Amino acid sequence: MDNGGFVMAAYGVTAALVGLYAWRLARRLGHARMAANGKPRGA
Amino acid sequence: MQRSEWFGIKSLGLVAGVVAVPVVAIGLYLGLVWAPPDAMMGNVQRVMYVHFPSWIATALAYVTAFVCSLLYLARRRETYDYLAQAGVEVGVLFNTTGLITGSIWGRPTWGVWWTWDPRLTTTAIMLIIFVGYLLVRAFLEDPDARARVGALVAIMGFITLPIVYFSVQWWRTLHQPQSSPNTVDPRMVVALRVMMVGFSLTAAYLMSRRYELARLEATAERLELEPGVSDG
Repeated sequence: MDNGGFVMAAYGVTAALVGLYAWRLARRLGHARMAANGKPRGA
Repeated sequence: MQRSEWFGIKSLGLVAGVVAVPVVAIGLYLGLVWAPPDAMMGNVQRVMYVHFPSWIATALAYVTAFVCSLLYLARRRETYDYLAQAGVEVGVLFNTTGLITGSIWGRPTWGVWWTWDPRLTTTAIMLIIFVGYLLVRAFLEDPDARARVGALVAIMGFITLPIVYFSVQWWRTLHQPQSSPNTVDPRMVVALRVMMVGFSLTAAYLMSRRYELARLEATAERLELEPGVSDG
């Protein structure tokens, strides 16, 4: 019994979700820093 | 908000993030290459090296949310509310990866993607409660009410954590009970422990970043309400 595809899927989904969350968090931090400094988004 | 407190959390988070990268990389090698396949399940057992560490990171994050929610209700310091938010959001992330990887592991071993087994059901309930925390916070406008109600939801949600843990002992379940390190190949134990450390460090790093976000959002909110207030 091998099921290597299931192993790769589990590792891939975990990496994708954690990576996506970290990327979204970095973007939200960038926007929040601007807002906290009183600058509008994109300024 | 004490500046030294913030720098402490930020520094610890950065150290955790920097250390997490090589630890997870080593853990991946150990789990995917070095550790032997399971005698019964074969290679699919390697899912364990991301599945179980996901639960360790979930527990770490939810315990942080629980303790900080209690501290917030007792002392009403915003720092605790920020940390509770960070704990819940990161906990929901790893709760989700734990459920998905469990489902992926379940398909070849149990023959189903999902079953209403006590362990799986209590874990799903725990996730729903903490997602509820995030929704409640999104709907409440008053910062104080948001923090108070959020703290109560986090405390309620945390009650499910021991139920999840003991569910495999209390009820007849398809999910295996907690196993002992003495009954498996030592290389599996090493790979699992390295990944547990790596996931915990990753969770700590993400929580520190999410804490910073909560702090900045609160500052921006105060700026909107009272122009002239800055994050000093």
